[in-house]
Amino acid sequence: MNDLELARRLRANEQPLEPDDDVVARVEARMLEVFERATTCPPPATRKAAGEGDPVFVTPSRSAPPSQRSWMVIAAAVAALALVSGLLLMRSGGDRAPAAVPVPPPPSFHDEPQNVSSLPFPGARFGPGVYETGLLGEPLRFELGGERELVFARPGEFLLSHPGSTDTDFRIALFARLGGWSTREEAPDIGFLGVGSIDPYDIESWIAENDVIARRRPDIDVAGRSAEVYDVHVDPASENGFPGCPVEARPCFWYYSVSTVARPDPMRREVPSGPLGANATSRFYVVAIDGADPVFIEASASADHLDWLDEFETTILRSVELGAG
Amino acid sequence: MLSVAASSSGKQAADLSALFRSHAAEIYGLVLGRCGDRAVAEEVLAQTFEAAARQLARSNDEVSAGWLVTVARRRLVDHWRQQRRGVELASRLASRTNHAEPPPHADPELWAALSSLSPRQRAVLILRYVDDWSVAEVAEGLGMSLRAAESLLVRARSSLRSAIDQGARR
Repeated sequence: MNDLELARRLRANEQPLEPDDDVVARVEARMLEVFERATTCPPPATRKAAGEGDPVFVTPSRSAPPSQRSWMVIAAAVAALALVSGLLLMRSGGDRAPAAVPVPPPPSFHDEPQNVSSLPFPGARFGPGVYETGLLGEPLRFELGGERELVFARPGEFLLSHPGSTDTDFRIALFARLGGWSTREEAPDIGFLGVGSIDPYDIESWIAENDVIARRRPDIDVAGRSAEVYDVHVDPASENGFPGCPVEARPCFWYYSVSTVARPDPMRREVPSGPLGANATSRFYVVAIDGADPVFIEASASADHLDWLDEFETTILRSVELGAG
Repeated sequence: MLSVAASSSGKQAADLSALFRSHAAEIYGLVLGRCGDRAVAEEVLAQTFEAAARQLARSNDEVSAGWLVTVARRRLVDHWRQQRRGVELASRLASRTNHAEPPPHADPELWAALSSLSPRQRAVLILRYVDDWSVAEVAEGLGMSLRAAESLLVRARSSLRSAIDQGARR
């Protein structure tokens, strides 16, 4: 099912549906109560001062009368106070020892390489051990000392994140080749950017043409090959960022990569890509391959977790073997 | 489109009820199709018409079906946005018993697959593919980073496809 089909089917689910009679009665009563209050209460400015601004979603509690709600608020406050007191007691080493919390044993390291593609995703956990993949064309093997979670793996790229993930800005992506920048996220637009026309061994001049700040770091060896290293983030003063960026991430761009093993499929918007922002750093490793395109590795972290980049470099990246077969 | 004249409070209330009776099914079906949870659909329905009541009480502005749909969508996004870590599990457990049977018009295969997703996975799919929001807009709407939204969308899409495939094999 492609994305267009998915959108069609999702939209078809949204058809008018008569609610049950009791739902109608409850909702209509609430509506009329609000209307009655609104037409008999002080003017809007006063109401707003009293905390009756536009509503936000709350967990349903409509059956509780106002007096009962007040008691519920008091009870919640007491419970919160008890919780805070408990936490303070635990932090200060209170008289009572905290109850033992079972801690799962750390997963054991496995020496036998596992194939990345054989693991289910999303959500597959990579425990400590050795992994290999041919997804990038160039066979690649790497070692994890801790846990990672597989976000996706497909020809041309795979992406790991810290377990728990969605609120964690950490990304390891391995691409075959960089493609282009865009101030829009729609993959079809890359056609206008000349994908593939960028010399993969001239990343510096490519970066220089954009509102991106790149700091060249000393070259390092990755799997016995020389790799150029760049710390990249978007110039905070840039006025050319993607207009849909969240306020706190502005300005931002999207970059695209071109895989030597998978062609972009604009209809599915699954061109290997990633966001770059002003408040996060992406560390690009361009690993030279004799007579072929380089292997491109990215690790990124938000400003609060820049130490993760160094951790990645000294652990996972140090273990990478290319052409391991 | 219904306009409520400010002639009298009783007349206004009757007009408001007429507005509700005319559009409740549209709003309820839209929200239930998006979230798959009857309790959430009822709450969003109520909040939408409470907003309509306030709107009509403070002005003579017209309240159209489009206005109601817009408010309902925003209220549902508010709900999704608040389902952050910590409260999400409790909320999911609480809503488990409220998962609706598919309505007669629904695509049962898709309905079952959507029900297997977390509320936030479902949210990103709806906002991205039904409302055609950009990933950045989804991130802003749900209060997460751009990368988190991108990651969540990839997972949601894959989970949905897997769930549909599994359903087809049964």
